[in-house]
Formats: sequence, structure tokens, C-alpha cells
Amino acid sequence: MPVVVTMSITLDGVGAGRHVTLEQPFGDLPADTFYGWIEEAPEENQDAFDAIVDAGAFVMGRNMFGPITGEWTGDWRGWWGPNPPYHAPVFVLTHHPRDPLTMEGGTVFHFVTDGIEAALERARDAAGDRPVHIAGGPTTANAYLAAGLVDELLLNVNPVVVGHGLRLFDGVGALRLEQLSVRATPLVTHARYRVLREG
Amino acid sequence: MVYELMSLDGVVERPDAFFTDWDEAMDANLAAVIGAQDAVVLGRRSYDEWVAYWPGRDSPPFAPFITSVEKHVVTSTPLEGAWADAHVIGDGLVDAVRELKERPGGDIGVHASITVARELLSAGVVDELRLVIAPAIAGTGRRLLDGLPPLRLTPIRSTLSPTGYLLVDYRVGG
Repeated sequence: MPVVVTMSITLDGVGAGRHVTLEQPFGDLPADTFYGWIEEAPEENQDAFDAIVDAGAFVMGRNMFGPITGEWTGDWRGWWGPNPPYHAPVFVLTHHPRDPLTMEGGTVFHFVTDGIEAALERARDAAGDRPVHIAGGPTTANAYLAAGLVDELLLNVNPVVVGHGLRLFDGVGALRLEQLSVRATPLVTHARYRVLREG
Repeated sequence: MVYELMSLDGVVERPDAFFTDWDEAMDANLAAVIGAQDAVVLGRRSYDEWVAYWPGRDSPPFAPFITSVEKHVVTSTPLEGAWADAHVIGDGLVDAVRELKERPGGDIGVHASITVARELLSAGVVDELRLVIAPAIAGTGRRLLDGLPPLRLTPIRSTLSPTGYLLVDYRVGG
């Protein structure tokens, strides 16, 4: 089943700001830069939001899971409250081991310390015949893209230029894609691409 | 109106490297874009490349358009080449474009000309951004939307061409 990078980005390709803190999950760019479309127009965009979390397992970078760096301290359980929207295993890339964290609704955060390929292997095993989503952030998505491990891109492109931040596709190199679908709404353009293997 | 051929990672330099198809929807889109324009603003590099390429060619819609349209070229040295109706903008690009906008008539186009497009976007004198986005990541090359201040855009249209290129139009401003 496909490995899909899912990202909400700006038209200039930015997927997150820098300097994530407890108050600022997207760093020095406001969250509605990326996800305003689901807050402001939930009905016309609900399908697209559901598609982001429609996977058998997820992989995410540590910065996307939370603002804590270094050894795990305290009881940080992610940004998403007691019942995160994933409802499946989520493999968090980290250099620091931590016991799995079982949330309500089927989400279990697993902390993987042996690299992106090991995390993807565990996610594939957990996903069975359903897709694996690389949930972000941009640094993690780019690592998987650069390693040639991604089959599809599911992008939500926001009509805004922010001029700074972490950019999807930085350091990835050249890739040929096939556009599978596109749907424009006033607040966001939803697009799905297949990654073709030759550069 | 800025019209650019772009890769999915935002690169607009040397689009022939990632534009491997050109279908009838892209042709019709280009024809509609240039059909509304009666002047273009070009950077010197784009002018030099095009004046060496287009004169004497007749492939519609672009060849007859760029041959006959009024051209304003941003340059500090005299123009060379065989094009009629080519005018020099020495300095003061933004003011020159503001003056052009005050004239009655059609749209003013910016094609290729990355530096010009960025300066006009930064100055807030661009009304529409029309992109053809290739299903490819270029990996290297100059990006259109680098070094800009934050800009709000309003989507006007987004369609997929038969060969999988995204035709997307934005109005600049929220």
C-alpha cells in the first residue's frame, strides 16, 4: 500500500515556521496559515481533512509531535488532546527512547530511535493493507522524499506567500510526478500526486 | 498579470527542463492569457533569449503575440535585436509599471523575467498571478516566490490539464 506524504503548505512551499513552542505548534507562523481552511470552511473541506487522517499508520517527526527537545521530560502527549484524529499507530522519530503512549480512540504514539527506514517498516507492518501517511513536518517529509521512499503526495496548498519557514522539497532533488487529482476551494487547493521513480 | 511556468517546488528558471508535455488546455490557457494583454514587461535576460529565438517563427499563439505586442524591457544598456515596439525602462520599474497601468487598454503581462516578477510582486503592483505548475520537483533553479514579503492571495481558478499540469490563477490580495 502506498506511502503518502500529507502536508498543508503555502504557495511558496512552506509547511511550518521555525521555533516551535508550547504556544506555537507551527513556530513563528500562525497555525491558520496552514489549516485555516478546515476551521473556516469545514463543510467544503471535510473530505480533504478526512483524507489526511485516512491511513493504517502514521510517521511524524519529533517537532510535529511536540516542542520538547532532548530527553523526554514531563508528560507531553501531543497537540491533539486526549483523542487525537489519527485513530491508528503513530510512529514518532526521535533520538530518545520513550514507552508507547496509548490515547483514546485508537491512537498509539510509538517512539522510534533507529531512523526513518525502521520507522517506515514498523508503520507498514502496522498498516496492513492500508496506506502509511508521512504526516510531517517538512523536515521529515523531505527526508522520506530524498530517500525515495514516498509513493504519493497529498497536498493542501494555501493561497498565501509567507516568505520564510521550513520548505517542503528542500534538499529532495529532482523528481517526476504524475498529477492524480485536484480540487480547488476558495481557501485551499487540494492536490494529489504520484511520485514517478526517475528523476 | 504575472504568468509563469513553474515546478511543484516553485522553480521557474529553465522550465523546459521540467515541462515535458504541452497539451491543448495549456495552449488555450496561454492564448487566453496573452489575448487579454496589449503590453508586456520583460527582464533583459528574457528579452535577449527571446529576441534570439522568436523572430521569424510563426508558431501560434505565442510567436505572433510576442512579435507584435508592445514590449517594455528593464535594462541599463541599449537593446539589440530585431523587435519592433520594444522600449527601455531604465530605472524605476515600479513607477513605470504604475504609469502603464493608468493607461486605458488591456492587461500588462510579465512572462518569465523572474527578477522583474519578484520586484513587482514585492511592490504590490501585480493584480493576478497565473501559474502553470508542472508535476515535477525541479530540485534546483531560481524560485519565483523567494524573497517576497508576505502576500495574501485569492484563488480564481484551478484546473488540471489532460497531461496533468495544474492551471491555477490567483488574484493578489485577500
